Amino acid sequence: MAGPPADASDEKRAANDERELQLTEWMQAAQAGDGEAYRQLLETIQPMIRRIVRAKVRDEAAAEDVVQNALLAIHRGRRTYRAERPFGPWMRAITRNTIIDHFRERKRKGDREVELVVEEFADDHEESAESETRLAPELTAALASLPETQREAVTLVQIEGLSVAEAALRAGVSAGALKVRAHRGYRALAKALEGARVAGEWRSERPAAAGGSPRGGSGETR
Amino acid sequence: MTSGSDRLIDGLVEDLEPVTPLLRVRQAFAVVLAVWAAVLGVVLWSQHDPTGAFPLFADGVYATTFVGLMIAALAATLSALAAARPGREGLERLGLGLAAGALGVASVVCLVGLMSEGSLASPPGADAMCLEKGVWLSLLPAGVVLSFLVRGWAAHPIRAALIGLVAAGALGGVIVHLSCDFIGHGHLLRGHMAVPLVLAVLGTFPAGVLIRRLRG
Repeated sequence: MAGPPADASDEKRAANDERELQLTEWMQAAQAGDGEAYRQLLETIQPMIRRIVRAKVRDEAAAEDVVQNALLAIHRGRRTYRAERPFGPWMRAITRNTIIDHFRERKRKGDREVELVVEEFADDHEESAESETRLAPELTAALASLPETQREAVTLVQIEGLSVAEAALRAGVSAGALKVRAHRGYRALAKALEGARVAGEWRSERPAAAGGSPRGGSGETR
Repeated sequence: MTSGSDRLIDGLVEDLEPVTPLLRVRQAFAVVLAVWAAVLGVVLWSQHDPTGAFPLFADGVYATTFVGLMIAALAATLSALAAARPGREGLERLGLGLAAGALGVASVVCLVGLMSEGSLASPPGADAMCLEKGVWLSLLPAGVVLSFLVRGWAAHPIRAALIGLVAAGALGGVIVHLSCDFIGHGHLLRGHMAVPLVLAVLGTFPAGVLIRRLRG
């Protein structure tokens, strides 16, 4: 009666052990610089990471972002893996920390989706002419205020639409470095655009406030 | 259709370079202890009487402070080294808990000793002198611990920096403790036990930012 389930669980355990062994071998080869083994490793763990992330992050786009950040973290932290320890817990620990970072970041930014602002600018077909003319100069100015490396990363990925690898190749840096630069750029852009928006709203409201004030005030005391 | 993650994998594979795996925790721990022992050896050797502080162990507060600093140093060092290795969170938490407990108990014992009758008052400038000496003596162990943190991948850089500096400060505190022959309980608290606290307050933020920038 208890035979078949025990067999099934043994088989499952054996399969897990085999996969663990394979991942460990790939990781060791990757640490030695074997690109093919590294590709197999990343392609194998990508769905595993996605499963872990999707269990915690409901939003699909955000989850994909977390998956990419986890892959990047695994890449950057690959020297911390030691073959005498199992690969799975190491990978899950990095994924877990990336998910925690995501929630912390989201809380800090108050759900402000910075990249949407940049995409809004890049996609001129869906924007009305009026809003485009209002946003474009602001974004151009904000872009111009970024440090050279961040501006280049944001332009290559978001405006020219290159992949991270292509953009990294063009910029002559690693994919990891490019992603970091782009993220810093988005953050700086968001800050600059937020400031520009606040200033714009203030300017657009100012004449009305000045004209409509029963006390005839200047409208500057908002 | 190629997803963003697939493109990222292409980029990561292109970016791949051979890396040397980090030392095991116990190996890194041995390196830190070796550096600390070398500093301790030099300090004691340069003193007029290297064993001058040994009779002070007869005092319970002095001995407890030594044990507290020593446990805190060892546990926080292990914790800091584990903090740079994903999957070793258990060791990190255990070390941190032990270190905090040891420092807490030793501080309480010092406070109780301070309030007891017959506690000696510190000579002017003695507390600051030992504190300053402890901070200086902590710098080399701190550099070694931080170098391991930078080479690793600390999920929480600021916390890792804090633990690393507490570890280094406690190691420096032990050296000061063994090379100082003044037994005032207030002095032990302000001049010896405070070394990890001061080092952590001064260095956690810059070290954390450094780790965040350079990690991996």
